[in-house]
Amino acid sequence: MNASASDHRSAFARPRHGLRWPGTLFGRLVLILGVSLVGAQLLTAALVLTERGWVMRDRMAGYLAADVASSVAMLDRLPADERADWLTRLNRPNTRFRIGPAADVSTTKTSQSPWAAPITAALTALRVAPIEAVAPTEPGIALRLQSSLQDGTPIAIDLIEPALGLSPWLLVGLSAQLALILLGCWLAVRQATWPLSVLATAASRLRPGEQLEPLPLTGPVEVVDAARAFNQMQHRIHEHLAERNEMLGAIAHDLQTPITRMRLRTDLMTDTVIQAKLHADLEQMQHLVEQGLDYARSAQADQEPGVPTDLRALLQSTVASYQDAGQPVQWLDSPARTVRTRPKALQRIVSNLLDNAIKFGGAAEVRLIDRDGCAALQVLDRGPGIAAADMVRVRQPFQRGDPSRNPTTGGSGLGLAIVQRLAPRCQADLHLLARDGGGLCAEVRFRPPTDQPPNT
Amino acid sequence: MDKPDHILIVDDDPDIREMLVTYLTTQGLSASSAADGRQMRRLLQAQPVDLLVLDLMLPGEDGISLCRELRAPGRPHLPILMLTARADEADRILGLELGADDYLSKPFAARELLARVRAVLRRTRMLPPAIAAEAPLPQICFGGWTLDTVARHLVDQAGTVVTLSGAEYRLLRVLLQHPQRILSRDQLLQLTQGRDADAFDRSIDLLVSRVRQRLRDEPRDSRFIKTVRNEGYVFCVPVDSGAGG
Repeated sequence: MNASASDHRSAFARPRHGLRWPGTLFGRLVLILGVSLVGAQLLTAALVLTERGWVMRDRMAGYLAADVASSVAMLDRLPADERADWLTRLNRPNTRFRIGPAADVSTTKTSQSPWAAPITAALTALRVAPIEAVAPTEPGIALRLQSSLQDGTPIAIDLIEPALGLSPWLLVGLSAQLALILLGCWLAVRQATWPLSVLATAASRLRPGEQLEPLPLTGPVEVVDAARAFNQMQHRIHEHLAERNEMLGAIAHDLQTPITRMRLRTDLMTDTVIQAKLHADLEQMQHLVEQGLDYARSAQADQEPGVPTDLRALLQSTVASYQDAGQPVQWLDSPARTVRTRPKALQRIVSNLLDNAIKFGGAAEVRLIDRDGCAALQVLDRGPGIAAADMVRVRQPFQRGDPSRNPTTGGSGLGLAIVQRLAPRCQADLHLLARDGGGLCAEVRFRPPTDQPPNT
Repeated sequence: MDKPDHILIVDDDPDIREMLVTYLTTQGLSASSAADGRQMRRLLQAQPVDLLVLDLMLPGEDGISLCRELRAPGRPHLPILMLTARADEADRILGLELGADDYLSKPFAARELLARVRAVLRRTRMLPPAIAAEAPLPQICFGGWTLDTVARHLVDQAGTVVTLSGAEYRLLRVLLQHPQRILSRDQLLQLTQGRDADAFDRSIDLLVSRVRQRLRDEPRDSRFIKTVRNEGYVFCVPVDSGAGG
């Protein structure tokens, strides 16, 4: 149960090559929302920047053209020998003038620059003609305009593409925006998935016979509704189980008076053969009744306070009781251990395990061992054991090791169910193991003492 | 002198009453029955009763309140054998702590009832009246140990619970009720198990060594329970009859 819950929490469900689709709802929602919102935001930014580029180019083309036209007009009016001196003064950050034959770079390749059309158009409008936009020969230059002055001197104007600079604050702003989007996604998705995981945890902790704290009715309306529904379901399960327990207890209890009458009637009989048979039947009925009552009352173990308990003394005295009754139970000497537990409930656990072992194995052995630093008691038999596939099933009420087995040999089917219900109340867990050399080893492992004491 | 012991059975089930009366009568006892507390009181006034077999679950006044009434101060000690419908711990202990001399949980064999009746009668006659009537204490302290007579277990100085089997508890309880007094094997067997010892019965010795083990004592040379050669056992540590631990 716990293992599957933690599986859901692993980040990726299907490990494959390359990109993986997140396994969690949280991951998926964050991915979908994050990618779409960030994508949309980047698209908007790109559109704005492109639009700004177009507008700026159109504007600047006009300015540049006017500038170039006036420079060309000035060069026209200057005497040929003075033009070279003026060239440096006419140069702008974005334009560079070359004059004379040296400037006549033999290229006729038409320019592909987006600046070509608007500038030629603007220059043509200013009657600087004929003018031709050609591809530049040097790197870093966007466009070369070729023309000639009125005296036929060739002139070339190199246009350095103006950089559409992005200001640093724009980058900061954009990053902040993206961060905000991601944070928002994370928060929103967490809002949606957190109650789900709370529900999942609560549902996985739900065990028959154990009262659980109701979920708090807080948060958004849908979450409150779900929590309320869950609490109601939990309540109904408990009611159902309590009802079943009560019924079992009532039936078992009411059977005791007729069994007593029958027992006394058979005691007064003269036919000893039938009397012995009836006694055996009645004993079996009585055992079933006692088991039923024991199972129905296992929840009452909560009322017993948890106290430090000498485990060895508990096992030895229980074994002694069985030996006094002539039962083949053996104590395998083990060192003393003290644990905090509910001694009466633990005695019932041991008795049920012993009864089982005697029933199926004919005899039982008991010992105390150390399991990873914690105490554990073992009840061992040499019976047929339990098939690995049945290890879980047999802990359920009314389930026997062999389903086809007649109750004459199979018992009430409540023994292990009682142990299963009492063990957590004794701060312990039941483990059914195959015993080396055949038989069953029922092990009751105590939880580390740091876990909550069974005192409440 | 030879008049048979008179047993009064209080149970609400007419069939059970009738069968018990029949059975006890065939076994040489005199028996009568009552269906409830009122009938019981009337019969107790009408004739002397040696032992009362009292069912815990009765309509109207239950066995608990009747037992309490019969154990009120000033009343002569009437041996009571409680019948409990369930072998449940709480009822059983309550029955004992209310002053019932023994209990038997339903369903029981007729022979078992007879054995218990005889044992209780013998035990009551064997012990001095003062001890037989002694009110049980919830806790008995001795040499660093506390015997909890409600939960029927021992508690050591560190507060650790040491569980006792039924026979171990009964033996220790009897020893604690008679400190500094030598109790014979025969007496101990009677008091703890309600049966007679045969000459070679070693079960009391085994039980004593088990109780010594629970008290974390040497099995042979005990600080608490001393062996008196050819006589029996004596509990030799002062017993604090007050509460506390």
